[in-house]
Amino acid sequence: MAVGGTMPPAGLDNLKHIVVLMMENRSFDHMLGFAASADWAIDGISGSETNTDSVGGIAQVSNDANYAGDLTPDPGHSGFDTLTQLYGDPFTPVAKNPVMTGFVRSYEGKGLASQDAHRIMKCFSAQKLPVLTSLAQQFCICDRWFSSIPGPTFPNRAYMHAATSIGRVDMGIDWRDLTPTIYERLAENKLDSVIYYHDSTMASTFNGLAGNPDFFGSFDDDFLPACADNDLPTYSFLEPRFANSPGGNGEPAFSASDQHPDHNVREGEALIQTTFKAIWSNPKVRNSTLLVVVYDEHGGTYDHVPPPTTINPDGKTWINDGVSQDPSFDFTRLGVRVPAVLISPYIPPGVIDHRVYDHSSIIATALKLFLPNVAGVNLTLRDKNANTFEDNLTLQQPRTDNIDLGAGAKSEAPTAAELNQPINDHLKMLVRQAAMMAGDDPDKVIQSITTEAQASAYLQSHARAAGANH
Amino acid sequence: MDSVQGRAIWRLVVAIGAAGCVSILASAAQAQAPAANNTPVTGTTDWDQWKSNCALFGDLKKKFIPCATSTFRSRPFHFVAQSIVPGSAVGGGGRYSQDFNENNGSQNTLQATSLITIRKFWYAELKFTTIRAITADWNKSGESLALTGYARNRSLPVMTFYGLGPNTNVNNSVKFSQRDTSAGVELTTPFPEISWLSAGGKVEGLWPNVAGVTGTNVVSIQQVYTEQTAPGLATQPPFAHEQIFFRPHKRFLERYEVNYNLAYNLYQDASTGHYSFRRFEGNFEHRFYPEKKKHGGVIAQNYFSVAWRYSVSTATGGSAVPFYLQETIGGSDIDNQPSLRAFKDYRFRGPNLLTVKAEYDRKMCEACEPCKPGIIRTVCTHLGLLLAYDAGQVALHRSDFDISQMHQSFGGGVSIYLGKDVIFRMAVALGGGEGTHPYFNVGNFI
Repeated sequence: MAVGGTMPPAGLDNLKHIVVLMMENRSFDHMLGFAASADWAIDGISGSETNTDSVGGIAQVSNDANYAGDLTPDPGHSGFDTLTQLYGDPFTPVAKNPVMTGFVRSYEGKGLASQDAHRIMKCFSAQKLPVLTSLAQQFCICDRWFSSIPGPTFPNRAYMHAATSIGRVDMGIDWRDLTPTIYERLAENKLDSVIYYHDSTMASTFNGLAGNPDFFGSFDDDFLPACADNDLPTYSFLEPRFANSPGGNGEPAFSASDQHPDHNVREGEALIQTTFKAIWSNPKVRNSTLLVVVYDEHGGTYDHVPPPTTINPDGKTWINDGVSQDPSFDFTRLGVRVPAVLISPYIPPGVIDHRVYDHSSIIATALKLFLPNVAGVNLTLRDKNANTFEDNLTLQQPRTDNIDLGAGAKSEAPTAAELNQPINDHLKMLVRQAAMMAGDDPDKVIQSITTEAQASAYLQSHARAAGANH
Repeated sequence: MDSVQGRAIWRLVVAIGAAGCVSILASAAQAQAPAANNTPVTGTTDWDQWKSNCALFGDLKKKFIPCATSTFRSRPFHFVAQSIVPGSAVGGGGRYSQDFNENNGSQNTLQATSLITIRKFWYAELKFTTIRAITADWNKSGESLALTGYARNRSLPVMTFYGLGPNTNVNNSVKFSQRDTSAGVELTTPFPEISWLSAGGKVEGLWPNVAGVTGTNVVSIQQVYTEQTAPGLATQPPFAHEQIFFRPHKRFLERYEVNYNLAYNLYQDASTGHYSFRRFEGNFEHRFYPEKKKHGGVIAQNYFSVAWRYSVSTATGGSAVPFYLQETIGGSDIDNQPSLRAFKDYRFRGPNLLTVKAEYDRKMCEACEPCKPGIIRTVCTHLGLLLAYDAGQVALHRSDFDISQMHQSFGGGVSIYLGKDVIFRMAVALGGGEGTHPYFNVGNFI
């Protein structure tokens, strides 16, 4: 069933909450491409898609991706890397249509032999991702949802919070000037929003949120009880766990659940399942909540759909200063396609939404639903012009059928190897952010932190030192 | 804990502060030394973090709490500052913890702790704990199995004894010394098919040793008491202690929580059998969390609790319950649990006990994390209030319990928090007819 028309929405009168779970760094094809079938006609992959390596070798997509181990070193996904993946040449003007041919050569650039770089074409079989695939098939999958810029985590997440990255494509740690955010806009209109996180959130640096504990909560200690108690705010943003934690000190060990390469993808499945069940097990919450599961960007993994053009949000542009590798960019091209699943009992099974979305579509939808009569409510031109997706809630009565998650997923403690693995660039930046917020010297702190366990300990100790309840 | 101990706490604080200053200077000197090369520092995170948090340069006000946290929580080694038993005063020591995580999700921890107080009480313990997840369908609670093996020794050179029973005189105290050695294993497991119940058991060997004390203005226990009036004074045999327990516990309607513990103990005199006895214990705690975070869970540090404790010991066939294994109320008991805070520590001792304890704990301010807290919030989030009411009675025989004759006390004070843990409590209690009693409790800084 495909939608795209202007069918009047039905379940919206009951919609009181939007919950967004944003995972890390996996493309649409990498996660769901091989699930395409005649019965579920998403824009997936046929199995014959290829890229060429630097010596002319052909790398073909395959459905044998492993939960972990395929993507070390971390595939490139900076502006430079992503434009390489889109065009082959990162300095190609983004007004040109991407050809999606540079993924393998970009991965070779991480120091891999040509044949080893073919791993970037590996995708998951549907059987390996029962939770994400089941939810996508039993609710609504958006198969034209693109990351907001062809670049890394922080600027893409910035679009999720503020519909702009304020002209940045870099992974710098200081995002204090990112304002207004959706949280501030909702608060101005007396609506509550909370960022529930596990071990870190880049939102801790936002000047508009810092100093106000009402904007922050713990996933385990606050989000899950809020679901059980039907006390969700109007808008919730959920951060996954970014670091493998060894536990001890009276605390259990936890595996990273963000699915950032090369973290165990099954842990992310478990987090998605936990989130879904928390909402679904309370009928009052289930019938009043729209859950959006989305990935911030592709993380360097392969996708075959060229991202379309878009609108610059605020007139700001990124100018290459000769120091950064990232080419100048005017924010008129979206990033690589990512998985996005909409979940509500008012959505019938099997909906496939082919319209173009990016992360600012969530902001646009939330503002349209919750502040329909407020003038000038949009944050930037990007969300003002973004497609909204609320009309996928078409049922007159909420579904009561059993949602089968197949084999499901169960979280497990990290292995010694996972605890000792070198930290990825994103986690490195989160540690630096925590150091900056604590008044420590980020450069000095990061020198002594090389493993996941160390990074987790640093993030947790700063939460403890601040007297956090989690 | 009396005022002498209160002064002792401050002396220790000063001593720790001085030691900290020395460490800070050493750290600063090291930090300012030129690096041999530009290779990354590869020391342990906690050690590097301690150096960073406690270095002299930078904003000292901002670094006080992180430095204290690093000092008392770093792994694998951190300092500990705590009391051992009531009357021991506060002491200092160290703890080494090594975690061994296995691929199957189990967590193993080896921990060695040693501590000595300013009154020369000391304590040493070696403990190994393994926690294993149980994924079987019968585990309805999702709790883990925990197995702990331990060996510990503590030396308590001056303890106070007021005699046995509910009617002893506060002015007739004597002193004795006690040394406890114990080793054993304890197992706790979720109960099959019942999500609100766990169960377990413990087997341990006890090697107690009790003796008199010498000193000026001190009345030693042998001068006043005999084997008849203080059973166990003449000889202290080794004991085999077996315990089984059931722990019903449940959080319901989010704000209410019950924690019960029902235990049956067998203490077997491994020498003559004369001091063998059985003990049934019941602890029944009810908590109510009145405050919730906006759009979140309850604030776990703010709660009302009411707890009943009932303990009866039975020695048959001419046996006797040794006085050093009898229950006590007054101040805090030998496990540092408060009871009848308006009375002196160990004020009443007997084989049977009934207590009621009501408390209101409130952390002054909710933490603001990951926000940037100001000074007022920083101070506020580390302070808490405590209101307490206690009632209790010991009895030489179960039939002697008389609720109308229970001793009572009430009081209040302040708590200091480090994160979510109470690290220090200071309170004043009265109402027992024996004056006002200050109450201090230094939490374990783990």
